[in-house]
Amino acid sequence: MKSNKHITRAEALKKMGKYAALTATSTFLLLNPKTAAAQTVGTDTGDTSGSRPGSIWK
Amino acid sequence: MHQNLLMVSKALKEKFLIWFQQSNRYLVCDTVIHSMLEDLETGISPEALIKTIAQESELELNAIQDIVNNVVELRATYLNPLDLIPQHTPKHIPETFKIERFFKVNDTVFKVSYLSELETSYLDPKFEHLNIPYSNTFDYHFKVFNEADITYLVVNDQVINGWTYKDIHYFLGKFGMELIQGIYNKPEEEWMGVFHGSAISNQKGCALLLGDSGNGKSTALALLQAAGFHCIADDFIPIAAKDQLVYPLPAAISVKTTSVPYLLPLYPELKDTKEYHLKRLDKHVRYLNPNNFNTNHKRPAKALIFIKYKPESDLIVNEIPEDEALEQLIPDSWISSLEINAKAFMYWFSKLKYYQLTYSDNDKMIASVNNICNS
Repeated sequence: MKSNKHITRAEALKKMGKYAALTATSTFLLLNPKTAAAQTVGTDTGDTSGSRPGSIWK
Repeated sequence: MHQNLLMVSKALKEKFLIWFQQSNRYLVCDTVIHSMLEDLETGISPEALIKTIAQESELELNAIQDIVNNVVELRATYLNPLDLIPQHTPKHIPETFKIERFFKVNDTVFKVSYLSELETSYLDPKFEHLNIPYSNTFDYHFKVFNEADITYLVVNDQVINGWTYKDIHYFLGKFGMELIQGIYNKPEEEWMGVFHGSAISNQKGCALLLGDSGNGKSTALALLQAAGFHCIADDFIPIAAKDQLVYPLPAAISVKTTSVPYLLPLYPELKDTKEYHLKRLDKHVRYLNPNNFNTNHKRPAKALIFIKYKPESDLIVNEIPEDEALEQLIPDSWISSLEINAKAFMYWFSKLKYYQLTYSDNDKMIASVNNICNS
């Protein structure tokens, strides 16, 4: 799905010098969404840092 | 050996947004990388791609080889899916539960049975205002219990999953998902995503308030609600795939205790509400009920506002580039891994406006958000 607003690769490479082209290939963003929905924990009985909240769990 | 990935691209204003089905990961890149990935996807070998680029550019061969190798490496990273939340199954589902709650949203009644006080403490602050007295009939029966340090959620006798304490925010997320599925009678595959922030609307439009924890999203939401805005959701913003509307979730709004003095004139009830300590975020909060909850109030979002309260700052409102918006949005969101829903997300995002809003003066912030919703 290419947009007319976007120039072709040949045009993009032509506009760039050698080093700019190399830089271009390192200017991207890899983005990972969460693998499940999450909600902020609203509890006053412990933290969510991974440690168990003590006596309540015993 | 070439391995085909399903790659879906969306041209944005300046960049391309690409989704990879195999891993449900996203890439934001420019024309050069996008076109190379597309060529590789059609089965063109890296060697052939190097030759093609040599013909269409004046770059030296070793520079082209470096570029193509970088892109091949980048593509390979997308073969690795993200780590999924582990699946747990309890040995036994308890027959008796110590605590029972009944929530009602419109005509849908949820019975929630808890084995201990701990599980109620996760959920009561957000949903206590929906409690109704005992009901003989209910549409959904949620059972929440702990077994061997794992908290389980069972809905209508079907085990949904179990979560360790480290992943308890995902238990709450799943609880929220089950709730919206029940309220709106839409299974999980009909939701485009769930976004972390607050959703508000005025008569003309709706915007999502986003940003890092501690930036004052919920406090801004409380101020906007007092100024006549409609609170659609706080913390958990569900958007359906088909209509791409923000669906209301009736959870209470969490406001930082440090904001309470400023909010008290608007919400006197905050004086006596219980305080909770969110240790991981190192903040104390109180919960405020949404004042006009209505499940019919579904709205299309017009804008993403990355909001930040900064003491003594002038009001600064800037439109930000799409890659900056995506960088902040995607890692904090659950986006459905179904192809049709990922496409819906990319289309939905491309139609929005994105703003960074920094403020210290509440009235100016409210006026600015009003302008964005009106535009």
